Amino acid sequence: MNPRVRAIFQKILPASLLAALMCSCGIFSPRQSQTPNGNGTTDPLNFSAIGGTQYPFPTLQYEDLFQGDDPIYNDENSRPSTKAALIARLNQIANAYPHIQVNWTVTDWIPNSSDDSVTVNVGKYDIILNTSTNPSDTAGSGTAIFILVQNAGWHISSWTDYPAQGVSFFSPNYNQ
Amino acid sequence: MAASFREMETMISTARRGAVIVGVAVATVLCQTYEWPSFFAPARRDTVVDSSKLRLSTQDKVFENDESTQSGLVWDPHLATCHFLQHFLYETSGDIGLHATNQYVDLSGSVVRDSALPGNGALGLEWSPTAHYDLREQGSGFESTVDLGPVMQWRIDSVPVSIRGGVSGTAWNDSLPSSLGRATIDSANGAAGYYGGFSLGDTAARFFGLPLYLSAQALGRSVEQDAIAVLTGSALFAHKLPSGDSLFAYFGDSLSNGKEDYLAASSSGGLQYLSSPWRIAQSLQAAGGIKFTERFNLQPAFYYSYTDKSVEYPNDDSVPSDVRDILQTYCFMLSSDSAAHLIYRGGLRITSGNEVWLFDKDFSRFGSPTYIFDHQDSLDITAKLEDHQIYIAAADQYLGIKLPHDWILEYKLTAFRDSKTYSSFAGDTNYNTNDHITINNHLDLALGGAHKWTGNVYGEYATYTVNYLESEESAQNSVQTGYRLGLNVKFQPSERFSLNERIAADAEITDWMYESFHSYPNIPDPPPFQRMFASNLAGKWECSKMIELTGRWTETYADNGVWAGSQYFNPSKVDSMRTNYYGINFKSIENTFTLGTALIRAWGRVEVGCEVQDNLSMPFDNTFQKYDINQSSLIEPYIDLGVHYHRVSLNGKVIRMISTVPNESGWNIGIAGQAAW
Repeated sequence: MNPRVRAIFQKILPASLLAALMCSCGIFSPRQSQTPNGNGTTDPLNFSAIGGTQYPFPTLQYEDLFQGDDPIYNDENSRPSTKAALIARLNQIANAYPHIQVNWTVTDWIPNSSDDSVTVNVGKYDIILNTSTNPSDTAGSGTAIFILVQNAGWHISSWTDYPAQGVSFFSPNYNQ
Repeated sequence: MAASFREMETMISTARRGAVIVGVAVATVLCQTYEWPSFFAPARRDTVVDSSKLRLSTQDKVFENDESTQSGLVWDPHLATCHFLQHFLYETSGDIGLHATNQYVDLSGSVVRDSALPGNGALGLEWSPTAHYDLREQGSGFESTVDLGPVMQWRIDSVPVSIRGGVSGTAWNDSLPSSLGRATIDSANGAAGYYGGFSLGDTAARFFGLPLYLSAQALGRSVEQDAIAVLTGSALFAHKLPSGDSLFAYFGDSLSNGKEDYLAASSSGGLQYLSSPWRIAQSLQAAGGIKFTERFNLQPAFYYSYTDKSVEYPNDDSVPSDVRDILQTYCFMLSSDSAAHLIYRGGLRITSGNEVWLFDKDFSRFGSPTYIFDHQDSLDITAKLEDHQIYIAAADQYLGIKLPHDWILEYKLTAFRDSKTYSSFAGDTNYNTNDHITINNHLDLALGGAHKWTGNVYGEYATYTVNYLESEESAQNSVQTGYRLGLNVKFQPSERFSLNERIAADAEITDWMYESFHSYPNIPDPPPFQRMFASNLAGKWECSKMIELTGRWTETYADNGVWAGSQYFNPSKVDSMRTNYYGINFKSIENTFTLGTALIRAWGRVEVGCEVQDNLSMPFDNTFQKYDINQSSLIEPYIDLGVHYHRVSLNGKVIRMISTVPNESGWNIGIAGQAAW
């Protein structure tokens, strides 16, 4: 064999072997995942309306949607809550009321040039527990102010809730 | 090399604030997998310049509300039988709007006289005074520390040894008024203590002529009831066998243990003198490797590394944060003769191990993971849910072919996998076992040679896979595919004139792994798309030996949005909707022009110029049709100065920023000088 060809073989062979080893062992292949539960990507509490189309959230998974220092959530009629407690409460609401509908009426999005955040003023929100059976089955209403920050897409760093009456339905301190 | 007194003081300061110092002794293994890791290489010794030096530098940044200054001076005169070193560091930062400023001064230094001790030892004095003064609207506070004591140094054969010790003192007051008067001195609190330490060995020199590089340092400080100590050590054995193969063994360990008081911000917006939590941080690495000599044009190598890192807070149960990572790494690499026409370099590195939270507590009584999940109200249990197995794999493959006319064709494959397997998953998406995998293919054709035209053209294809295993979050599984094409061209018809053009075009497309879960009847969630095009044209013309003109024009277009595929929407409404198109959410165009004129003389270079930036951004509404236009401009005239006279040099740059956006105008001033003789 031509020495030059042999040298090329000598170099390509180990590279090919190493590449084949990587592929055959599945070193860089994802593991088998389970088919998603329930209805897939949902937004039962309609948080996508907070960002609107100008400030879309890259994910509606609460763990990533809420990003910031605690307390992210403040209910004006109750004590502040941790992010973990808020997420637990939101999941509890979504599981308990599969037909829940939350209408957020955003009055304006105000960019803050000093820190590149955006203040979202919610002039009114309504929570309808069961849209399929009783559209008047409301669980509360109020106003709210959200602060959005950018970190590989927009996220909610602060949520101040001004419930119309009593402790907010969203609050982890809500007592049925 | 052995750490200096100032470096070790910095280690203590870092340790008491809870930051990780383990990198001091435990070398990182993050590098391309076909590169021999740096912890197997002896440290490089700094070149000793036989001259006196005075280095001065200052950097000021002033924006509308934020102001920061960092000024430094190092005085290092060359004396016949003495080594004298004096640092002066002054830092300020603050927010003018909030009337908050922080100031810090460090005046560390040392003087050491050669041959002042038996055995040709050196004797000297070290000092390390520092002071913080923080001002808030509600009040102000200060903290000052000083370490002062003798140091003794010997060199036994080629091994340096030093012992130091002395007194420590601290003074503070965290409740001063905003305007200071005589009360400051009178009302200060104070405490006294001592410090001591040693250093042995040199990571850049052989230990008694053996193929061994040893180094160990320790420094401890005790002031009243608080004490802190930092110990680091490393040993490297590197030996070439008669066969040409090389053997390597490395051991590194670091430990910081203790607590200290320091001035910190209080929750009320004022200041308070706090004690840092008692913290024990340990890090250990043991590694061994063999690098074979080249055989059959190929040089294989292998190494194994074991690391054990832990952080404990023995007296703080309010937020359980004790965590320990034990990792094992195997790496195999292969390379060919780089002078040959065909060059190959490849490596595969696999790291696996466990991260264990609250590792010093027994959780067996809690039983199953389900029980743990059901009892998350316990802080310990919540922390324990973070336990997971770590699996990180990385591979790099490089193939280069030298073509006629000095052209080179290169292919690079980079693969990286980061997988976490949580042991306590019970329905919580925080602890969902996942894989993140990146694979990048890069093909490059470099057009070299001694021509007027040189450059390279390249293409890239990459995938990024996000994979959650449990059903609760697997709907988010996606594959992001990236494409890139690029061209770099240099035109240089003469030595005095050159033009460079760099063009790149990017596109990123995301595909959901479970598309139906993002489609009707769920809320339509079309996958994100984004594109980018960038051009950078730079030119330089040396009009004469004294005058040089430079110019640059950079243009970047970027947009992002979604692929509005018909499969994501209600089939009964698709006919009346616009579907299967790229819906843009956001578009931006940025242009930057820079023109500069430089005067070049024997004494230095002065450049005067101006940079103009124009930014256009267009956020679209939810119909992807209507958009707003936001425009902003920034003008930055600047002067860049570099002068030298004999062994004195001075460099500085002053930039004035004038922006159409409120609060973004300001100054950026930087000056640095050095004198040596």
